Amino acid sequence: MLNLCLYFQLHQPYRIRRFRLSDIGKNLSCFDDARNEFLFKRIAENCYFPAGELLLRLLHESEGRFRVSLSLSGTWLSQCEQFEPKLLELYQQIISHPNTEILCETSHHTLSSLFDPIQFSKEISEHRKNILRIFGKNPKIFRNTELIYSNNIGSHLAQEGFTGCMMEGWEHLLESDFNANHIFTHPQHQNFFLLPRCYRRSDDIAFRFSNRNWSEWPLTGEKFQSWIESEKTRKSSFLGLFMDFETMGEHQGRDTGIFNFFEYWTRLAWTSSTVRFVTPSQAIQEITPVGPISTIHPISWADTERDVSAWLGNENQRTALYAAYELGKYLQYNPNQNPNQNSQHSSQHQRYPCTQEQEFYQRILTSDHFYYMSTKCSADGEVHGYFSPFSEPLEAYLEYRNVLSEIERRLQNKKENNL
Amino acid sequence: MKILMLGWEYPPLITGGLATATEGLVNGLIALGHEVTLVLPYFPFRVRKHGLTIVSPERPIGFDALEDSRTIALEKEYEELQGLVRGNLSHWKSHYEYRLMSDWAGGGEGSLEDEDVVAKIKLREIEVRSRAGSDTAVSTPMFHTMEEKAFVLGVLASQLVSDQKFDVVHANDWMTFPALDVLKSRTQIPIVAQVHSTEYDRAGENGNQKIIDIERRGVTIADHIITVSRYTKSILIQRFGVPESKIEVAYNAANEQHGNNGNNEQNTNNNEAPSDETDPVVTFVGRITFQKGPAYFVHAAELVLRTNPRVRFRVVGTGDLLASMKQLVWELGIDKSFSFDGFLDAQQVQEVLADSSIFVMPSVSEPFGIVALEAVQQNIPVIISKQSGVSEVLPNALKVDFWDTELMADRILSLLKYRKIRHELVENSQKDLLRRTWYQAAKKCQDAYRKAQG
Repeated sequence: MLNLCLYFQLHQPYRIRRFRLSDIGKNLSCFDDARNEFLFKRIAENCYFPAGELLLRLLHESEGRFRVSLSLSGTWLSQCEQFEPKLLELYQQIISHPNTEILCETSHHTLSSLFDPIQFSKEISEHRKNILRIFGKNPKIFRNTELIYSNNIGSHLAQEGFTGCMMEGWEHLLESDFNANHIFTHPQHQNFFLLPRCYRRSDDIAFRFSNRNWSEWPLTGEKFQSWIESEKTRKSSFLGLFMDFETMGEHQGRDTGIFNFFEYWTRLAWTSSTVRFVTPSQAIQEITPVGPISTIHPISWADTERDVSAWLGNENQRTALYAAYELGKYLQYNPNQNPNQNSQHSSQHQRYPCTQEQEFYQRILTSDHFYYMSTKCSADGEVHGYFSPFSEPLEAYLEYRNVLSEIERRLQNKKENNL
Repeated sequence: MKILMLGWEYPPLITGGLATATEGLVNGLIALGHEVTLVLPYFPFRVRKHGLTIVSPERPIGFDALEDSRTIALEKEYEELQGLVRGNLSHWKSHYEYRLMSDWAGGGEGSLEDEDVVAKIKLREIEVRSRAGSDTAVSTPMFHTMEEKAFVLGVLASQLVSDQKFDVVHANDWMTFPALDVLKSRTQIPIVAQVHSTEYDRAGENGNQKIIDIERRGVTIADHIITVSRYTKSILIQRFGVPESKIEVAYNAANEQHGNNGNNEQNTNNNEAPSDETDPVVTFVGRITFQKGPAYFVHAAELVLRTNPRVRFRVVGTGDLLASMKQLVWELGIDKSFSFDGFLDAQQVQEVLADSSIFVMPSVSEPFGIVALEAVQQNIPVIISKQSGVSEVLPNALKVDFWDTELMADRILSLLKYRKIRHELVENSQKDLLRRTWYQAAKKCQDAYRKAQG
């Protein structure tokens, strides 16, 4: 029996607004609130509502045969609470279903796992609290930003008490001719399991589905199911279909037939006798791992390189990242870290156990800001351009540096006031 | 392919960007295995280059075997042409007429219908031809008016096409377009017109209507058109209604010699500039005319100086707005931070660029803007207006709208504040530059020739 694991990522960043050098010191908002609201509502209409409703319906109609896992970033959750509170109810319903599993990630979809282990832990615990508050769940499986993973990150997560982690099924990490479609373990932690993404089948839907130049277009449910079943001949035991949830209706618009395809195919899959849907936790309990997988260098699901060059590929990106994490020094000594002090203030502060400055700081750590600064050419560059609110990577860099200067100014003021 | 190229100037004779562009294209075409015969209205020099023949009034026939009988033939040719000019050209109000009227104070009704004018041109022409046999450089045509030069081009070109067989005619900019009219009426050779700049770029909405008419006429009678950027292509489409499929874009490349001058020495010290000890220098290079947007540079400078009074601004070039720019700088009270260097030759421009911290090109309308590429070669970051062709080939340069002086000032200050971006900017732009060669531009011309031939 081939185990199919479906996992969708829901994430929206707080995009920064156009921030000129001359805006520093004027106490202006650093974020493009109008744009963020507009985009969130638009994507909610195109994707989060219809695709969420579809998931819920499939969960009910399949009588336990359809299973799905979701991860929702903290910035997605707070924007959802702010802009589309009804939408959050839908996802509470989906996640309360026994055949749905929610994963944990960093609260602000950051790259902290690469730069700052303390900040990384802080974001994990913040997100855990958030998941518990909103969904009443305690996630056991971790999904790092854009599936960034290395042995170090795995060790960190094992110590945090997670039982497993999603990663890119990059077979170059394995010995030649070895198939990545299995469950693996961490080389040092035998009880920490790794769930690889099958990028070929995932990208068939996420990237190629509507591409009319693709030789396999149009992709039908039968065709896709036959590809999946052919994995059996390769003795695969686990097939990870991991993708952005925005694939459903936003990246691949409704008119491409993505919803019909998805519904049709899932019904084919759950009635098939050769495959079954599993949740990540179920997978690591029921499937025997084939061995350890080791990577010293971090890998991810982004771009053709599958490394971290999407965020660290050029000097501007690295400079911006170092400068951003440099600001962490202002937070370590902040005496206001105790959330109870803010309890009499707005509900916003109750939900997020940190001051406004800290929250803003974490929002600008979101990986998307650095993604926009990428100067990659070719097909990956087009993907970067598709997501970016800026017309040029350089512009993204400069506006970001200005916002960073503004945040630093505020953190500095706060610190001085507190001392 | 044998190419008959109609040009206006060629190194070492340089008054604008056209000379270097022509040289680059010619080199590229020769490298592709073509033979180029370049016709120029004035060129008292000898250039020895395999595959290139330069024909000018100083050396009217491009090949060495100049026989006496030719002179007589030329005389006949001239009579014939004169008729053509009178009969065919004057009805579309050529620039001949315009220039003559504006040159003669009082604005008399001077035109080619005027016997005196025709006599004047003819006199000059005979003078030129009488000296053509000798090897001494003749300088007379330099004083020819624009329309006389254009006329000379027509004479020489039609002479050439009757003597030799050419596969294509390649005309560069409006000055050479009147000659196209002559050729079109006499031969079946496919015609390709290259537009390096339009009257709209040079003068905005207040352009000379007669030049605009010549441009329109030229792009209409040409079988195919080459522009130096998509930006210029869109102007031709919008203003002259040229069909998109008739236009090929061949981007300019940077002049190689210039790059070599600076690269070796400046590479190390300029990437880290500006250091704290020296005041940063922001430079403008170009004609001080409407097209180049010098006023926006001055206004952006004022905004920069409000925040950082240490920045110095340097203006290289001359033009009709020079005096008013000096006045403006003085009125804004920022004259102490400005220096006007006037006109500098190519070598001096490279030196100024190499000593600068930032290059700004705020052009209102710039068909290409080759100087931005030269700045990149000198390892300095560039801020260029979105209304320029060069912005299409420098994806890694900072771009602003020419009118957005606030953003321009902000970008200048940002480049001075965030040092590390300079390195990234320059390095990436240089990579972009490597992709632009004259060889590639010539290949695009070749495509255009093939399309013109059908």
